[in-house]
This record gives sequence, structure tokens and C-alpha cells, in this order.
Amino acid sequence: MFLHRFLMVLCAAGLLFPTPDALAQTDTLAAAAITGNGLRGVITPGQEAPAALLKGAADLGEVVRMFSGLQLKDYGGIGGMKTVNIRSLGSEYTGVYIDGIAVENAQNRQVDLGRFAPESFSGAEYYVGEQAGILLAAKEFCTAGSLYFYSVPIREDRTELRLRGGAFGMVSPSLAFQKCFRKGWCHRSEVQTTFAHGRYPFYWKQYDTTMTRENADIQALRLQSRLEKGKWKSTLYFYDSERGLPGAVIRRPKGQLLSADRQTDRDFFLQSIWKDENWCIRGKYSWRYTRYRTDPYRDPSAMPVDNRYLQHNAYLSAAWHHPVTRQWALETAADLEYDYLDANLPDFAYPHRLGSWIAVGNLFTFKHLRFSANLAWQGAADRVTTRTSGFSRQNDFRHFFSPSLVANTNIGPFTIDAFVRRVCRMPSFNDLYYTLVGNAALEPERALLSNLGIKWNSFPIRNLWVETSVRIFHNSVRDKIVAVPTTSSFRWSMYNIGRVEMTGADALAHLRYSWSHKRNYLDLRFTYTWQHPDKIVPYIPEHSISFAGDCRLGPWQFCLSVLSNAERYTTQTAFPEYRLSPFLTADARVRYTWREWTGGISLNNLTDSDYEYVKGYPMPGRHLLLSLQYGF
Amino acid sequence: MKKHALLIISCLLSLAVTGCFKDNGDEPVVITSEDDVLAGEVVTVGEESLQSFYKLFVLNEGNFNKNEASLDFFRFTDGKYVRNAFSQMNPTLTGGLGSVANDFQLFYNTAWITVNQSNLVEVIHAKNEKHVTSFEIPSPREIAFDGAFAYVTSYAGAYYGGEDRLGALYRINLATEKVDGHIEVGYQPEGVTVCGDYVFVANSGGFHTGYDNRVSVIDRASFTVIRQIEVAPNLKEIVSDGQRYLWVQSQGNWGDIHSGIYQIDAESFTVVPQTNDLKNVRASVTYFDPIGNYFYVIGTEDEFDWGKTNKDYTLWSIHAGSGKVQSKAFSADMRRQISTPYGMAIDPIQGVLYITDSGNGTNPGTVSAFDSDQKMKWTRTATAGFFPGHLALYYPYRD
Repeated sequence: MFLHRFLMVLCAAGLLFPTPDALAQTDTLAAAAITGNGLRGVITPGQEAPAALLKGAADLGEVVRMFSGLQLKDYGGIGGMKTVNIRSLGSEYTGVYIDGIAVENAQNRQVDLGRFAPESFSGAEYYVGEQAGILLAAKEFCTAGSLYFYSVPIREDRTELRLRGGAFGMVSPSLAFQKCFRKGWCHRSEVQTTFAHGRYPFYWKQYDTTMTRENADIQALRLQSRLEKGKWKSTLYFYDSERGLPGAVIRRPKGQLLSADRQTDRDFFLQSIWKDENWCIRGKYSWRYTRYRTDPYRDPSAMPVDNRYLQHNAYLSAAWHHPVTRQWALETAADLEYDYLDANLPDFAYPHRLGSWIAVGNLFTFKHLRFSANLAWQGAADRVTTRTSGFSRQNDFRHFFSPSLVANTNIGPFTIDAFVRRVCRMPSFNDLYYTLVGNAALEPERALLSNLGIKWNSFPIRNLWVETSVRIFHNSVRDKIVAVPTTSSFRWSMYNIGRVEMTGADALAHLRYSWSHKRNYLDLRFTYTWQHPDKIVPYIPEHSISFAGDCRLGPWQFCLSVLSNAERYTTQTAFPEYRLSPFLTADARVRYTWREWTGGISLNNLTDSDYEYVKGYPMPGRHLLLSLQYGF
Repeated sequence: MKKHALLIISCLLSLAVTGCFKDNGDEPVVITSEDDVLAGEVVTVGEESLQSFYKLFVLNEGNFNKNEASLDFFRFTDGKYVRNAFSQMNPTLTGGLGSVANDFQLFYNTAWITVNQSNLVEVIHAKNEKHVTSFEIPSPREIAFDGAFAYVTSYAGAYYGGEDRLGALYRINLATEKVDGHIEVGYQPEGVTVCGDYVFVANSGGFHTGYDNRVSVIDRASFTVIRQIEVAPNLKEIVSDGQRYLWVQSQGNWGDIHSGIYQIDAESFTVVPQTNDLKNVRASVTYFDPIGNYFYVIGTEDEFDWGKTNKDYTLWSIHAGSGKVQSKAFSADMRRQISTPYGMAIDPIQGVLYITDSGNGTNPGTVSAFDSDQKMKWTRTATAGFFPGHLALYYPYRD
């Protein structure tokens, strides 16, 4: 009962669905109810990806880089790893959630977005701090930023065949099949394979040389299957890929490969979520196999390496939403997680970790004011195997308290929001136990985040909808985990020595105009991020700007996205040799729908700019991707 | 206060040696080079009264995958520290110096640089840093010369499959300027030196389980390995006194065997039992001074203490002929300037000690100069590149 009233309050405030999609398209509302995003009582304003951007994007990196305050780290090309980083905090702080459950990687805490496909999802949202919603997992109370992907709702029986290809010698056929059975059981399955040689030319500006990325091929198979009924939803995911790692661009004699390294990945997970108005139970088991090997036959200077890692992860979470009074709701959640990392290495630590999270939140809702006061605790108990004594309990327990305060108020058409939160980055298995690098004495890296924002939200004036917001933030990071060489460059170790004070702001302007009964629309979105650390933080631009324009005219859809980053440095020192040039890149996309057919053309990097996110990993120049879809 | 052995001897030597350099009586030789125009940072006050060398080269290894190996120098004639001299003097050479430089050796008026990840041995004019030629050698490590050949150790011996692969010693014929064959030595060979009829290679086994502990002995005439001398795990630098003794650095196993210095008798191919003084030596950075015939070593007893960030370093000198060991803990100035010593050079004539600091690896390293009292000599430390590991003092030869 309370919940419905609560939802009504939020709907009235225009908060629950911060973008006009909900207002413009009633079906989004239905989608939200099914996918579960509707159940969150959002206090911290988030950002939602333009739906059309998600629809025809080649990868998720293309979508998330348009969020303000979020940096993408992309190694380029079709097989290059793509990770995200919210407000310069590092990808270890960023939670990536698929249908409400975190994607985990205890080995290095990096989640590669390239392993998921945009067509699996109908929505993407990004929150910094926390969304302070209801029925969150305890883990979500402890992250600095969260990126949520919601899978496509199953509304009708439908089969989609899609063929995508073009640049990089890419051919990627996929099949999606969805059906609802009796008694409310619904099912959707996707199969996608990708083949590409991955080669692309790039221009090495410094030396006026054009070269080609080699050994960048990929073969991948993705299976994703979902079964749901009412409050319950389960997802099965399997990903198998074999790819070449093209290596950093360095000086080498002519004709020599830069790298002949190969990587095999096999990911599997099974996750379930059950959610009603007061309870949410989440469970997951995942399994992740990585094999990295060099090929001394093709690259004679490579040391023979064939490392295999296998990660097991089991996760269970329960969240309880308890409305105490009309104004006050109590949120409690507890998570338990088990990780194990196996490897074929000699002297490996074979770490086990039992992680636990407990969170208590208080959500207060008054007429114009909502705030939440939360306290979360996380602990991680490690066990490692040592050469001499077998199981060891040395340095085995780390824990951390994450309190947070979130508030949000409406004054006329303005919404003011603020939050303060303390978060940490637990050392990963690589930080602690990696041969020749790990330092088992590491403590969690701590960060204090604060944010103040104002948003102006026009109620739809006829067919025009405008939203603008500005947020300022300050992050203070202590005991930063840094890899430091010791007495030899051969032997690096991890230390808690870094400290960063980051001040910044992000701004968003969003305009939408629709006509012909909302069938046609023009959607313009502009974001700007300013980040000013007390000293240079590698790879963080001081200014970044993005623009996304989306226009639908009957069967036609046009998208244009532009992204620009200011200069970055690869180190903390502002010498010219460590500088990465500013860049501007623009992608254009046209889609045309005729009966059951949809065809799309994307022309990416229109201006053919030479740019890098990571030094030595040039991004592709102008390239064309085509797609054809048949749905019935 | 015990004075540094070398510094005493240096005074005696200085006259004789500078005499060699000053051919035109009392007038110092004026050296000009195309690199005079490069901008540099002034790190000294006023004129150096006596210049025994023209340049101090500093080779920065650079980070792996970053293609940021670079060559800097300090020029004694104007007291300037010039960064990135190689890339400034060779702007059109694609890829610059390359990725991860590993050794710098002077050979008359040329300098030879191994660029490990770039699979190249780069040869430059020492006078103006201009590219002369380069040799393709996979994963090259260190260089030594005899009159006819340059010997280069390489991690990449022949590959027959599997996990283990021996390293190699490559030979470059100096007359034909061609790579003239290679032979397999131990696992991941590092240091190389020529003594008498033999070439000696120190094998580290850095990528080999349990490390390698052997010095490979190669007969120069037949270019074959004739013997392997077992010394200590994880060998790195090896130097020769030119007469009979070799000194080899072991890096230990980072666990329970400390690093140290071992003496090898090159006539009997045996390890000389360590004296008590030598047993105390810890070795992370070394430098051989051929003028004084001293082997200098910097190390720390705290090398297994990964949690300690400010370690206590000591400087040792070992007379290569007599084996006499002297030690001196880092002075207050040195402790202040140097957090992680990474390379060194000693000017035996002026009694100046140059030490580089790799710092925390997130910022470029630095170069500092200390006088014979171990006090800061320059007005400031010079900022180098990442991992300034290899230093060499240069005075032009008359062609």
C-alpha cells in the first residue's frame, strides 16, 4: 500500500522517470514495471542513455561514453577491452549491474563492457554516489558509482534475426527469440556470434606514419537466455571468445608483429532475482575462465607464457523494505559472496574470499523533501594457500564502513540534490596475491565523495520538454592503491600511498520535441564534465563534452553523437612526451524501417580523427558498419 | 668517518687522467656538437673548475608498452641537463628510441643501446646522439665488446615449444656491421663481459621457475659455450677487472636468499669463497669504474620488506683486483633525495657520485649528484624519464 503511494508521489514529482521517454511513450512505463526499474524510489538523480543510442550502437562503450562524468577506457578496435570509470575514481569503484545484479571480477575488478551486446538491453542508467532507492542490494550501498543495464522487456512473441558487419572484416549474425507461455511464463533467448579480422589502419601522428593494427582478430559466441514470471527473473549467460591482443604501438623493426599474444575467455553466469514490494532476493553463480598466452613462433621475442585463471563466484543477497510510517521506510539488506581464483601458475596463492555486506538505510519522504541516511558495512575474509604451511590466515580480514547521507528537495521546477558518502575499493586478488606484484598487507583504498546538484525540469509545454542540471562534486581519495617498483623494475609491488583531491562539475542539457502524436521527435542532449584534481591524474581530461542528437521522422531515424576530450597525461607529470592530444570524434547513424525490416548504416569517426584513450592503443579511424534486421 | 676508497684514490688519479684528455697543453679542448642547441635545465652553479668528462649520459628505460625509452645527458661544459636528446636529434625516426631500453655502452665515439621490447640494438653517435644504425636482435639485454665483435645477450634463444626457453648470446661483427650468429646460454641472460679469451654471461632465470644461477663461459675463438659456473640465484651484472677476476651480482630470490656480489676466478672458472665483508653486501644497483678498477654497489638489507617504503641503503666499493670491500650508509642528503636508487655512475677524477632515483614509478625519475662528502652537489635534482637505470660518462675520442 505504502509503495503505491510512494510511487505516486515520485511520479508526480517527475522523479521516477527522469527522462521524457516515460512521458512520451506509455510503453516505457510498462517496460519499467516489468524490468523492475520502476520499483526504485530514486533520490539521487541519475542519467539515462537515450534509448535510440542503445538501439543501434555497435557496443556498450559507444553508449556509456555519452554520460557526463563518466570516462571510458577503450583499447580500440573490435576486441579491445572497454571499462568505465566514474568521476575519475577508477573502474574498481564502478559497479556494473545487469538487471539489478552486479557483474563481478574479483581478480582485477574490471568489467569489460565489450562482452555484452547493446541489443540485449532496453535501458542504461548511471548513478554517481547512490541512487538511494528501495530494495537495493547491500553492495549497492557501498559503490561510488553504478551503471545499470536493463534487459529488453518481453511484451510479445517475437523473433529477430540480425546481421551486422562492415569494418574490421566483421560479420556478426544474431538471433533473438522471445515468447510468453501460459501462466505468465516468459522467455527470451539470444545467440550472437562475431567474427572479425580486426585489422584497421591508424596514423602515428608523431612520426607521420600510417600503420595497421595486426593480431586483432576475434571470434566470439554469446548466449543469453532469460526466463521470468511475475516477480521472478532468471538470466543465463555464456560467452566464449578467442582473440588476438594487438599490443601497444611501439617501435619495432619493419615487418615484426607488435604482439602475437592470444586471449581466450569463457564466462558463464546464472542469476536470479525475486522481487515484490517488500522483499528482494538476488542470487548468482558465475564462472570465468581466462587464458593468456604468447606465441614465440610468431613473435620471436615473446617469453613463452600460457597462464590460465579460473574464477568462481557465488553471491546471495536479501533486501527488505519496511515502511514504518507514511514518511519513513527502513531499508535493510545483507549480501554474502564467495570468490575463488584458481590458476596454473607455480607458487600461486589460490585465494578464497568470503565477502559480506550489511546495510541499513532510512528513507524519509516528505512533501518536498526526501532524504536517506544509510550505514553500510563490508568485510572480506581471505584465505590463501602458501607453499610451506598450506592454508594461511595471514592478513586475512579487511573491513570498511560506508555511511552516506542523501537528500533531495523540490522548489518549484527546481530539484536540489546533495549527497555525502564514504566508499572504499577493496584490494583485488591481483593487488594482493599476483606473483611478484601483490602485497598481502594492503588496506582498502578510501574515498569520500560529496555532491551538490540542481536540476531544472520543465513540465511538458505542449510537445517540448527541457531538462538542465548542474552538479558539483568533490572526491577525496586516501591510501590509493598504487603499483610501485621496488629495488628492481622486475619486482613491482602494491602500496597504499596515493592521495587525490578531485573537484569537478558536470552539466547536462536535454531537449525533446515531439510531434505527430509523439511518433516523430527530436531529442538533443548535451553534457559537459569538468574535473580538476589537485595533481594530474593519469588519463583524466580536465574538460569533456558530449552531444547526442536523435531524430525520428516516420520510418527514418537519424542519430549523431559527438564526443570531445581535452588533453590527458599518461602520468602525473605534465611533460609533452606523456601527453595525449585532445580529440573530437563524431558518429552518425541512419536507420530505416520498412515493414518487418530495419536497415542501418553507421559511419563512425566521421572526421577520421586520430585519438587514443590509452597510450599505445590507437582508436580506429573513419569506418562503416551496416546492420540488417528482420523481426516477426 | 671512513672515506670512500675511491674518493681517496680519485685525487691521486685525477692529474694523470686529465692529462690524457688535455692534449693541447693547458688549453682545454673545446667540443662542439649539433646538440648544443637543445634546451636544457641548468642544474649547477657557475663553471665547473675542472672538467674530466664531456657528458654524463642517462638512459631512461621507460615503462613497458609505453614506447617511452629516452636518452638524456648532463653536459659538463655548460652545466645543463638535456632531456630526450635522442628523439630531439632524430625527429623523423619512426618510434623514437623505442620501448624499454636496457643497456647503454660506449664504444669509442658511438653509444650502443639495447631496446628490449623493440627488439633492436640502436647505435648512435655519442657526440650528437644521431642515429647511426640499428641491429635486429630479439629481446636484447646487455652489450660487451672485444676488438672485433659486440656481444649482446638476449632472452630469446631458439624456441622448441613448451614453457622454458633458453636465452642467447648474439654476436655482431663490427667490421661487416652484421649480426653474425648466436648461441644458447642459460635462462634469461643479463650481464655480459669479456675477459681474456672468453666471454662471460650472467644468467638470471627471471622467467624461469627457481631462477638460473649460472655464469656461461663462451670461448671467443669457437663461439661455443665451454662451461657453466654455478654461482647464486638470479644473476644480473657481471664485470671484469681485465686481468683475472670477475664480479657478478646476484639479485637473490626476493624471498629468503639475499642479493649479493660474488667473485669468480676467470683462470680456474671457480667461485672464490666470499669474504665476510663481501657476504654483507646487498646489490640492487651496480657500477663499474674501469679507471679506478672499482666495482660500486648500492643495496639494502630491507630488500624483503615490501611494506617499508623508505629503505636504508648502503654504498659499497669493491676493489676489483684485491677484493677489498668498504661501505658507507647513505648520507642525510642522499636519503632525502633518493627513495629508490635505480642507477649510478662515479666520476673517479672529480670524486662525484651520480645516483638516479626511479621514485614511485608514477612520475619520471631523477638524477642527483653528490660530492665526496656525499653532500648534494647540484643546485637541484634533474628530472629524467621513467626508470633512469643506465649512466655512462663520456669524453670524445680523437677520431
